[in-house]
This record gives sequence, C-alpha cells and structure tokens, in this order.
Amino acid sequence: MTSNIEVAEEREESALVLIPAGRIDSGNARAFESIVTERITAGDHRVIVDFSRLDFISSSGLRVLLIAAKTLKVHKGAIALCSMKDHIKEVFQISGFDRIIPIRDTRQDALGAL
Amino acid sequence: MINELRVSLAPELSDIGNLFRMIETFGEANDLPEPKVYVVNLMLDELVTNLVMHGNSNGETLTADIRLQLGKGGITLTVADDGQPFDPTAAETPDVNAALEDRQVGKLGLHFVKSLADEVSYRLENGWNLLTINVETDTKE
Repeated sequence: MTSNIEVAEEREESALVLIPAGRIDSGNARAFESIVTERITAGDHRVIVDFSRLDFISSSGLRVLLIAAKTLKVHKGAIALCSMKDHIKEVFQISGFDRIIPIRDTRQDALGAL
Repeated sequence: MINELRVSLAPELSDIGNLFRMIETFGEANDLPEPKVYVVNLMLDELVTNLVMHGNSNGETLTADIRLQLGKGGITLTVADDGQPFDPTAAETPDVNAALEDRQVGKLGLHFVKSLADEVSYRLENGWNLLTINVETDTKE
C-alpha cells in the first residue's frame, strides 16, 4: 500500500509550478511520480517544483525528479527547483543533483533558470 | 525523557510513515535539531526501502529490529535484519558527477546513508545483518 501526497499547482508565466506538501518518501513517491508524469504528458514542458511546503524527501523522490528532468530534456523543456530548506538542499548536493537540475532560492529565480 | 526507541517489524513501505512519526516524537522529546531528525528519517527510509526491495530472496517474511539510542556521542541507529547477507558499507558509490543523460536512478539511498553518517559499521552475526550508524548531535548545526 502506498500513501498519497498533496500537490498544489499554480502557473507562473508559461510555467507549471508544483508545490508538494509534507513529505515525498518511498511510501508516496509513486503518487508524486504519477502527477508529474501526467502533467508532462499533457504538455507542460516548463516545470518548477516549489519546495517551500516540503519537509522531507528521500532518494525515491529524487528519482522522480531525475526521470522528469530526463523526459523534459527530450521534449526540449526544463525543470527547476526552488525554496528548499537547507537540510533538503544538502541531499541534492550529496547526490550531485544540484549540478544537473537548477536549484534557486526563489520562484522568480527558478523561472529564470528554465 | 525517552532516550531509546525500539521497533521490530516485517518491513513494508507503508510502515515508513509510522516510523517517521515515532522518530519525530523521539526527536521532539529529546530536543534534537531538525536537520538531525531529518537525517535519521532519511536513513531509515533508504534502509527500510532496501530491505523491502532486496532483503529477502526466498519469499519468507523477514524481520527488522530498529533501535535508536541517544548517548553522549549523539544518535546511534541500529538496524538488524534476518534477510540475505548484505553489507551496505561495501555498496558501490553512484557517479554523482555524471551528466543528466547518464545518471542512474539507483544506488543513491545507501550513498546518503554513508555520506550523512559520522560512522557506519556492518557485521554479520548468527545470520543477522547488523548495521550500526552514528550521527553526532553536538556539531555546528
């Protein structure tokens, strides 16, 4: 059994902003993956994930972001992340994901990185 | 003051949410800094997920004993399981410098465990995998 995740959606200019709340762990990463994949398939190729309401992410969540980044690159799109807490940023640094997916302090800066 | 937490379970991914709540309560009761609670939560997510995915090869239910202790040196997390012998400390490190196209999705979990721990040791004892992890709490954070 896997659990759900609450993901709010907003638009900034032509980009889709996903705002997951709480946690992305191995119990609900599949639910997050379904939402991301669905939006990309529907034609959203400029995606920002706003981490301001996220307290936790594990490698299962990073996996979803990596797959999204790869898929978007194929579609000539892009993904950027913003508003991350320091302890979450650390796992992006340890994994080297900060070198393949832009991470910015604010949503506006993330838009500029797309 | 609760300075020791013990849980024994047949791991499933749906257990992770409950484990987190217990660790958060443990963290609050002991006034642990949020980044340290995050690190312990992250390690358990990665280790329990690994056990669920790869822990048993013969279809039998495995048992995992998880222990969290708070001492002078910080937090000690011990995970014992009776699944197939596996030394996480010897696991291959993923290429964290690869380009996006070449990135693999696996192996990151144990890399996090090894990178975020101040000390990790493994031994096989009477058919049980015993992993002991130390996370210091009196650092600059």
